[in-house]
Amino acid sequence: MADRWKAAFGFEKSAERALPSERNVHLQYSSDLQGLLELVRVAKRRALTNDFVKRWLVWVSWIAVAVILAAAVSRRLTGVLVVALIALGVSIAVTILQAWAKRASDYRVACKLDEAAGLQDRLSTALFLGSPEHTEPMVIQQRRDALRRLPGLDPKSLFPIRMPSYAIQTLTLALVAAALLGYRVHFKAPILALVQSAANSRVEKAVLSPLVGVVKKDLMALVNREPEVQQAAADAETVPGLPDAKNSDDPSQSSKDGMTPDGDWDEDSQASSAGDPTDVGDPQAGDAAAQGQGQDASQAADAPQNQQSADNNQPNPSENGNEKASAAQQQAGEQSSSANSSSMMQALKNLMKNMAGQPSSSPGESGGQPSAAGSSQQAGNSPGQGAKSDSSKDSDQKDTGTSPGSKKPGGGAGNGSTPVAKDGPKNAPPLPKNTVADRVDLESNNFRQQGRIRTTSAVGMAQLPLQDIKPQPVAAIKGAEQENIPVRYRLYVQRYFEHTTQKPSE
Amino acid sequence: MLTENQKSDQPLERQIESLSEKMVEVRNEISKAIVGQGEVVEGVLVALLAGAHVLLEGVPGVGKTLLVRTLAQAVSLKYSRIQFTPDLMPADVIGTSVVQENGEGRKILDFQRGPIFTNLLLADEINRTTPKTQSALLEAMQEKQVTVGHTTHMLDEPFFVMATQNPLEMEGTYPLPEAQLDRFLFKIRVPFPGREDLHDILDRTTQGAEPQVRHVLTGPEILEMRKVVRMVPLAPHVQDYVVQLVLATHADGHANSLANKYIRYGSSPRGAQALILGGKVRALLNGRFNVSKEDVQALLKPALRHRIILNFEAQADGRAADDLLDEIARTTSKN
Repeated sequence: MADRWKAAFGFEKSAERALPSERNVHLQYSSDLQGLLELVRVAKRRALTNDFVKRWLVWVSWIAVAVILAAAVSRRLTGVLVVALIALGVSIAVTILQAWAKRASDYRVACKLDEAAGLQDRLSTALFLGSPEHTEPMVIQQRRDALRRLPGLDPKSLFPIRMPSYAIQTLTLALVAAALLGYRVHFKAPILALVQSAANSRVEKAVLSPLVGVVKKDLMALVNREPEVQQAAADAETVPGLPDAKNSDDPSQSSKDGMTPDGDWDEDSQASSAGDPTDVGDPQAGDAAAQGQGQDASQAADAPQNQQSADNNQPNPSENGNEKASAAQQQAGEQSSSANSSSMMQALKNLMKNMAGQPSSSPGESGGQPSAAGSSQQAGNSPGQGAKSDSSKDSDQKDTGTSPGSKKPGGGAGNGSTPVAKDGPKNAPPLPKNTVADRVDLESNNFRQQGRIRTTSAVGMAQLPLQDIKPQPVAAIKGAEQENIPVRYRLYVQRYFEHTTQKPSE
Repeated sequence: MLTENQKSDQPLERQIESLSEKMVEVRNEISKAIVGQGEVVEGVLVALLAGAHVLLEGVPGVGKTLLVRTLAQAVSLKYSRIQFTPDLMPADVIGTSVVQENGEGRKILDFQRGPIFTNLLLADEINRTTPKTQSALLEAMQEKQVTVGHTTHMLDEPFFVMATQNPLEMEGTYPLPEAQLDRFLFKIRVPFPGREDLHDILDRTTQGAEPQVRHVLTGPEILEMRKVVRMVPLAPHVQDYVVQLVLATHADGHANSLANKYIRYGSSPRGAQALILGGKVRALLNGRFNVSKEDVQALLKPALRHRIILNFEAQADGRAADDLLDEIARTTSKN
């Protein structure tokens, strides 16, 4: 293993073994051998160059590989470039030292010359016996024989500067490294970006998606009843002749928008406003409180996007009944798929604002009620109940524990707390206590079996958005189950939308 | 204007030139009787000038005996031939002491020299005699002397043994022991002649008279050439190459995988000596004054093929010594 690494960096042991008698090769040669020595030196320089190129290309290959990896991962391109340049400089110095330390002797170069020129060891033998002390007749004859063949030798042709066999691979690596560096000038590190995107997607799917989904559905439930949202949807495509559905201050409008007081709903809202301590987890109270806060325009504008992004794969509830507006919303939602995450974050922000802004509005809403603080607290908790199964279970258990005899169908002062907020606490009718029991009856009403109710609309008349509400798809309910949201809570919200389609007159 | 060295070189240079010319003449004379077989003739001449002996191996009728006879005629040396048979005794080769009467009528033991007392000895079918008789040649071939009783008799120089053996008829033969084989500088295989050579052989031997070979080289000239041969320089890397080759035949870490598998015992140091001495002669015959690795490679098989002992696995696999030597030459680095 160590030998392999040494070989990879050119530190391998030389295959040429130093012969015992070679160490005695003389440094001083006979004057006859000057031509031979000059030839040997030229060949030696070229062999040294070949050796340098061979060793250095190994270093370049490794450096190129390192640059590729670093450029693909590192964020600091300048650092990579500086380190690469330093490594190149070091490799040149090390390779020169290596080549110089392992340079062949004159005798070895003469052997290579013999082999290259086919001189049958004439030059090497002459050089080995080139000392002036060698005056034997046979040695003299041999030296003359070697020198006679010198004029026909061309060291440049015998020792060409050759690229090693792996030069192509090294060149390819260098080009890839250069291309990657050029790419990095304009773009991020590809591996790093890939890993980050993969990590983000995984985190989003594994952790954030369930939470965001829950929050979005809660927000959707809020927004579906929000007149500002409908106004924003109507603004997306202005329809002449539409009645003023944006005016949330109009009590009649609010009642048309599905805020029509329902007996069940009314009792729930009254129960929440009454501050029933047993109804802490009642989501109706949360909805009512959220509506009572009077969301600003930006929230109202963001809400449809959240709803659209959450329900891309689901049929649109079309709570406002305006199909054109909902289609525009869907298109806007499809076009804003890239802003999905930002919309989710905005939804979270809205939720947080709801949570933060509720206490400020609650006092005004329930200032005359002793349980206003408790009601606002319940409202603040209600959006998070979808994700908090324990609290929702508790609240559900408490809800189901209420008496069914307190149900007042068709009665109530309004839907949720919005009419209460608009009308003021003084105009609110006395809130019955413990209205949650009606919800138990509603659950047993098999509301999903109810047919859709459509209202005929005249030409030029704006449809009430609440008349086209569809039941929540089963997939969403199942999805809610998968997201650990109590089914009952989800059904409750869905039931609310269906229930609001029934006009008080009906 | 010649320098001092150049003036002193003149006799040597003339000697070398004379050697080359003489060798060319010998080849020409041999070629009168022997058709083709260039490598065999060169091997024999190299062994003659190196001062060692040659074992010729070939099927009957390929000209082994004729080659030796022609060489004897060309070099003008005493020539003896011993036909080795199973009942041949050492005394028949070396000689024996016989009882004779001297001039005073007294009976004395007189040593009668055997056929080994010659310059050029042809030991024909040497593997057909017993090891006892074969061993009678050991001292003569190595020390160039013969000891009979308490008396040692020196052989005449040059003493050159050329033995032949038939690789086919192995029935009733006695393979040469390793010690005997090691005495031969080369073991040269005499191949069957090719188509053209066979036509030429038929033309020469079936038409007209036999060619007359003249003497072109004498014994003293051969001895002088032997001295010149030993003066040829040898570069250290060539010598190291020879050492590597010899060590590669030993299965003790220096050999390659094939040698480790098939060789039971490798070459002796005489193998390295044969390579270098033969290389020197070959260099001079080719007009060079130094031994090259090409010379060593050319002589690798004749010098080492009879010095490595193959194991049973090699015989079972049909591996010959030449195959292993080719593999060794291929895998041994020249640098």
